[in-house]
Amino acid sequence: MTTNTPPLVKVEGLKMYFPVSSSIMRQANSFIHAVDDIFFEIPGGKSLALVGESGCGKTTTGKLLTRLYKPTAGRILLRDNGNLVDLVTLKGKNLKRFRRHVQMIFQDPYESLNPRLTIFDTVAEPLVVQNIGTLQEREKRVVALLEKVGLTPAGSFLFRYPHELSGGQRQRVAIARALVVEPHFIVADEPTSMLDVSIRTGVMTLMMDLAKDMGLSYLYITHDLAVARYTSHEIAVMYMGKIVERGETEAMLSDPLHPYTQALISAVPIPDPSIRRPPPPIRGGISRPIDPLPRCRFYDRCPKQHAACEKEPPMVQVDGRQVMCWLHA
Amino acid sequence: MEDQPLLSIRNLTLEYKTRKGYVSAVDGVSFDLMAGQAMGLVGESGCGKTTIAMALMRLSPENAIVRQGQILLDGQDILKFSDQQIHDVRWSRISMVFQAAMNALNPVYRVGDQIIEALDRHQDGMSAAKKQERVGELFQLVGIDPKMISRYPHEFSGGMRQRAVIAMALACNPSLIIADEPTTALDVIVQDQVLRELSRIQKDLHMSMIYISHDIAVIAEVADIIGVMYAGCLVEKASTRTIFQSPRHRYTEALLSAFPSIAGPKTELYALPGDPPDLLTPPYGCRFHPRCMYATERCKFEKPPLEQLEYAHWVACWNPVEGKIHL
Repeated sequence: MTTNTPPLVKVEGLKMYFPVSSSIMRQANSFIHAVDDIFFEIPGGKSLALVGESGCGKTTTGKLLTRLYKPTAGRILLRDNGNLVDLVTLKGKNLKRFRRHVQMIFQDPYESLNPRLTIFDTVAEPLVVQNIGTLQEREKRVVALLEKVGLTPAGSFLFRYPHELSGGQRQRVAIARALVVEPHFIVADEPTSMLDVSIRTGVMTLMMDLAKDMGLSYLYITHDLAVARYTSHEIAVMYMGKIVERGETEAMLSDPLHPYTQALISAVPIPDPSIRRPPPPIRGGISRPIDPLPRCRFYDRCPKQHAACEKEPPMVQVDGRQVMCWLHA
Repeated sequence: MEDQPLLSIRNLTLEYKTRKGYVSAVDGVSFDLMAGQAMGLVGESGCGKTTIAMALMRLSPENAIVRQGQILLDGQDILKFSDQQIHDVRWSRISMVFQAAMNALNPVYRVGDQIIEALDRHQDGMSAAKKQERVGELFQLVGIDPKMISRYPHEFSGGMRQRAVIAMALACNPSLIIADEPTTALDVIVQDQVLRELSRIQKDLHMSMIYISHDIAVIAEVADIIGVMYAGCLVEKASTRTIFQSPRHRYTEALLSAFPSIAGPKTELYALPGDPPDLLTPPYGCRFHPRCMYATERCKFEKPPLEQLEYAHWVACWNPVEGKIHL
């Protein structure tokens, strides 16, 4: 895992607290710890899947990395010409310039495309915003990209509107739009969860092929571990704002170390009727991390809970895996 | 098991009238369901699975037109029932667990009262105390603390709401429950709990069940038999094991190899080319032919009938996958 070149993305102690305010006049004294002190890095050309249940903080993390939110604390370092730049400190012109390098693909291709813009205008918009190229150059680039994302012949798509396209085609347009400024890093928030199986595989394969061709890295946000398996080199599991385990995809799926990862993996339905899964080892339901107690976040639901768990567990290394659990500390 | 099926759908053909024309949503679907059997209906969005569910409940939208076919419940065609007759059948003999549990409950009434409302309709003779008791029983059956009876829907978590909707569907002891994407909005751990509960109740009470889902892994875990739908047609029907071990329709085969799994070796996923057809102008012949690698001239012009290729294995394909020898 350790390489000589610095990672493309490095996140250190990232926190995002949202106030739970009781009224406009009063200062909030409770906070939702949506993202609470997380660390990870993504090497160039590799992808990390951020996996967890709804409300675990995975989308918030994605929005922090694209600076749609400004974090409460922490650093987000992005490699730019060999140097690491902290995105959190960027403002104005520099922030806009950085957006060339980091793009986002959203979940719902029906909501994320402007219905009044043609496909050409949609895909070319980032170029206009960043003031790149002449009209002819932009058109050339858009056509090349549409072909690349499988919308062929590109000419027949240029002047159509989103409502004329199917869900899978729309998501391909969204991918083209993200790629048009030649970013190094893409945050993809559930990019295939709205698509049907027969369409989903095509879009997933396309994203992986593009990553290989263009040396892209993804932060692939998904609730579906099977999708994570096919899209990412590493998986990070989030639970109530914390990354509780991170490691190489296949190793994690075959031998999860954290009790929450174990529960999560054992709850995934398997498309093979000859396999009978035992019920996942977990109790109770998920709650919101409002001013959580300084102990393991999984304390209430963990089947292996013991006295040490009353304190916050440290992140430890176990065989190249990072785990936040007292069983391994 | 009795020979007479509980439910028998015969050649059901249904269209939606829209401003642009007629949408051929269900085209000649036939299948039988025995008492106590759990059937899974899988397919992608727009393939007609929910349309069939709504037709079974006689809750189709107003622009739906049944062109032909019968829906026989214990031998009686419910499509011919009067409004009064269907009122008597709905909830007490066929009931439904809806897709969006968040919206299936009325936010301004207590959850317990909403279930009592269903009881009021069908069990007039029951005393108020008896009804309360029944709701308590139902809550226990689906795994909700009976103390929650007088709470409002917003006080329930997503999984709890789905359980409450299941309790409501069970209230009048129906012999058939249709569960339309019962766990699609739920997280994977809660989904697992709800599915286990639903499957256990179905077996304990010896009910028939139709699970509708786009997720073939969910269906694999709860259904005894599976019907695969594509673009309004039932293309294959067999036992769950057979569908997974030896699919014969080309679409089923493609669907299975497109589905990622976390278990077993990481196999290459197959991406089906193209998009499902627009049902305003469905393709001639086999509706799958424009996306099928094995399509021949015949597939373009002649619709393949659903035929029994092996015992209890029905397939509608002119060039089916070679059958595997079962050991």
